[in-house]
Amino acid sequence: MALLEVKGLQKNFGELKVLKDVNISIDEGEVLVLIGPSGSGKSTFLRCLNLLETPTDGEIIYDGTNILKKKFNVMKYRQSVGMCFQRFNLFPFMTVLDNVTYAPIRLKKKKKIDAEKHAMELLKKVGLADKAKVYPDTLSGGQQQRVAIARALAMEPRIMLFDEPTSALDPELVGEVLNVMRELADEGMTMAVVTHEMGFARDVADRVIFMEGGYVVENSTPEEMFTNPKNERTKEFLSRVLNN
Amino acid sequence: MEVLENLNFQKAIAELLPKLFGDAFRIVLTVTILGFILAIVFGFILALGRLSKNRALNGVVVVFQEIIRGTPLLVQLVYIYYVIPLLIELGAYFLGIPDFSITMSTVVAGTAGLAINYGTYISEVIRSAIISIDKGQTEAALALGFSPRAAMFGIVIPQAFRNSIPVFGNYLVMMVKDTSLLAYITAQEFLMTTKAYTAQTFLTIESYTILACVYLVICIPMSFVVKFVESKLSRARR
Repeated sequence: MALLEVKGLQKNFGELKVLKDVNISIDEGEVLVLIGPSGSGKSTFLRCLNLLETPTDGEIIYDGTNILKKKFNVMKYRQSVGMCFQRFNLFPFMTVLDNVTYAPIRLKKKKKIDAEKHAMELLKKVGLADKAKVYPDTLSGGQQQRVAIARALAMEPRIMLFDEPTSALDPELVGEVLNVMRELADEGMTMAVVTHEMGFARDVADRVIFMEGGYVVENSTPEEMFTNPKNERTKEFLSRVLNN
Repeated sequence: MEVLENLNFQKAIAELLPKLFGDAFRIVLTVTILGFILAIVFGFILALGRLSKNRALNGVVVVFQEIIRGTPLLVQLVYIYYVIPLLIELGAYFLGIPDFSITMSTVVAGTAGLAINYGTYISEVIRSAIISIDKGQTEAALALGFSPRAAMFGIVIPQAFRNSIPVFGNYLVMMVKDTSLLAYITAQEFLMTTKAYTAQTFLTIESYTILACVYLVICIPMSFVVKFVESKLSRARR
């Protein structure tokens, strides 16, 4: 059964129509990777999924409920949807540990000691247990992104959204973040990932979606997408990104 | 020269300094500390009003800010001390309480005047500090499931406040000096005390020189502390 089902999603920024008609469903445990040229609407689509952008029209069904209807508890919903941003957005005035425990203590009413224990497990998982007491600005970009992943996981989300998580990183730091994401995928986390890392898409995705101009142009398995793309636009895009 | 021969700093120091560092100092300290705390609280309220989406509230705050910034602090102090009590009495009269009378204490009027005036300037400092916090901070908090209000108060404002601390420090030093304006509404602060002393002794040069030195002795170390805190904070922030 689909965990999230998106039907006829549209998003306009004033006159600009960024999403025109997007239909995507994400199953529990599935890793969905969204690719496409910049400006194609993939990030906007991802941000619509946790309502950081309010869609102009369409439906997003989560667990059988349309999250766009009035009186839907958006804050409660967001607690079950983790998100990682291109620019990490860690809270600079808190230690790494406090970054990770901040939300569970306040929103899940976890005891500090329990939240910290869980946070340390998560930091260990992303390989940063030794950095718990430092401030984010002393970390490299790759380390900051891994902390951001731990922070999102601390809320025990049912799905993780990644908005170009490696785009702001130096090339040599990309691998460490992708490895953590790969590990998450192996553990069965439901994920929607916007990325330009085609290797990651090919190896980790269950399904790859190619978006352009506010539409889903192609939606298939990674094998299909990378060896035998159907659509002309997909072919053109892939040949461009894979050949440079 | 006769003036030089008559200079009597010893006497002035012995008599005036205890007065300055007695009651006058207590008044300056009270007015500055209370006034400054209130100014920050008031500045926050104004800043939040200015940032709110409520158009009417926005308008009220802007008009208020323009009035305060468009009039001198000295005039505001006089207004609060002399005019506000009369207006209150007038209001009471129209409400059917004919013999209502209030007198405002100079310290209360002075504190209120400084708090309102400085609060207005500080509100713009706070507002721009809030605006300058990266939008990603709010988004990260929202994405975790916090309400917009919780994101504002838990994530954005602590950072904005921290970034404003050096500017707050400069305003604090300015406020110490501006307490001298309270002499005009007869508060017994440094200037008023000195003026009263010269009227009795005619030690004009000595007294006002001592007064200026007292301000320097208080304000220069304060400025150093502010600079120190500023450099500490800017080093802590990447």
